Amino acid sequence: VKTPARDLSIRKKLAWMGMLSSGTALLTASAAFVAYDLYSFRERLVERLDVMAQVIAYHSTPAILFRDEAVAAAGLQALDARPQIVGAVIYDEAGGVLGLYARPGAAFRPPAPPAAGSTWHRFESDGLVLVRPILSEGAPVGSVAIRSDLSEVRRRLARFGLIAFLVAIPSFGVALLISRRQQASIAKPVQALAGVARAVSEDGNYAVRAEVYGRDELGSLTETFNAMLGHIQTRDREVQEAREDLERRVEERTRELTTVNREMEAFT
Amino acid sequence: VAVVSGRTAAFAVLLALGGVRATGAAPSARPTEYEVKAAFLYNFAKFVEWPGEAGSRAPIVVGVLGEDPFGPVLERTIGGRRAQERPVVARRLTGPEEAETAQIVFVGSSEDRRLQGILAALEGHGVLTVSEMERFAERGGMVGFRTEENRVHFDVNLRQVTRAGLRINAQVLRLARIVGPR
Repeated sequence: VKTPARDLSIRKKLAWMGMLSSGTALLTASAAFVAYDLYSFRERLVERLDVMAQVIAYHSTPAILFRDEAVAAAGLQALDARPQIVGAVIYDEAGGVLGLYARPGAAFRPPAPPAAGSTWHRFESDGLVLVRPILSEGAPVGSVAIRSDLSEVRRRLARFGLIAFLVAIPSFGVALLISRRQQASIAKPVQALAGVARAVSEDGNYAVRAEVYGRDELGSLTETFNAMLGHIQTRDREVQEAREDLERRVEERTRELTTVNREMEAFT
Repeated sequence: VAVVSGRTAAFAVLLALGGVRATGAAPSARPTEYEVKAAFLYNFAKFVEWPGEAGSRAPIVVGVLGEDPFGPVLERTIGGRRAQERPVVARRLTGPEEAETAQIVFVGSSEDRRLQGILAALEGHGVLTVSEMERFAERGGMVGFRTEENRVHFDVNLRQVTRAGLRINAQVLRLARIVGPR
């Protein structure tokens, strides 16, 4: 039978509270950290793609100007060394495809020809597209577009999940240890108080006193409880004494009456 | 074999030009043979270094010697543009003496028979010689246009370029077929 939460012992309640608060703190902290890291990582991804695009743009300027498709495509072939690059296109000034690279096995759809001189990047559900102009003498003569997948982001997220998990286990252990030690300051006085109350109730012994552990609310509760016990003890003694006094007086009167009776019997 | 294929190519070019002229090419249509060649001449102005002209602000002169196949195309392609922070101008040349003052000289096919004399006259004047003549680079010119499958390619005679003290950008040389002795 499962014990309802409110019926759990204070020790257990305190343990749960500790775990819950440390767990929440850990989760919030890791979530914030991961969110920030993903944000900065995406920025770094854009930066890296930007550098690649600019290198390609610089090296393919002659190929664009002299309309050499073979050399344009060969210039893109270097992207083969970067497995996260899905594909790349070099557009000439009119928006025609001069060079194309598509990773073997990857479905690469070249984006629509960008406007001359345009610079942009866009995150899509499965990738990042970046477009940079190819300049000659300061004027745009074409564009380069690169598409990268987000496998690095996913891999990073998975690694973070693992790290958070590996950090969570020992920190939960430490949290449990600390809360064990801390909960004694609450659980011990409560347990002591409960024990004394039980003793009073079961044995009618008002002479016992609960130990006071500190000057907090529990301490003052224990002191008040002990004071109440003292009052009850005094009252109890007074009642006892009064009863004994009454019994003695009844006895005396009985004795007197007996004596009177005997005297009267003697007269008659 | 080379001569025959060259003639076929030239014929194809003529046909293409005739077709374009007849229909009146729209500006956005595929560029014509000579629009491409004019653009190439302008591009050479961007990628060639002339001896003793580093930092010069004087115009880069693209001259046409002999019969001019470009018509208004050259002026339209080059006019008002700049290369290496220098203005680029197109000019018709009357003879080799005037050609000495140009940076790039396009030798028209009409000069085929006088070619050796022209090349000899230009030697030592730091002029980049360009032509669409058959085997121009092999015959002592520097840059020879070659048309294959409707595409313009170019041959470069590196020895002649170097002898003239010129330097062509290495990335551009990658696009060229290098001919002649090294």
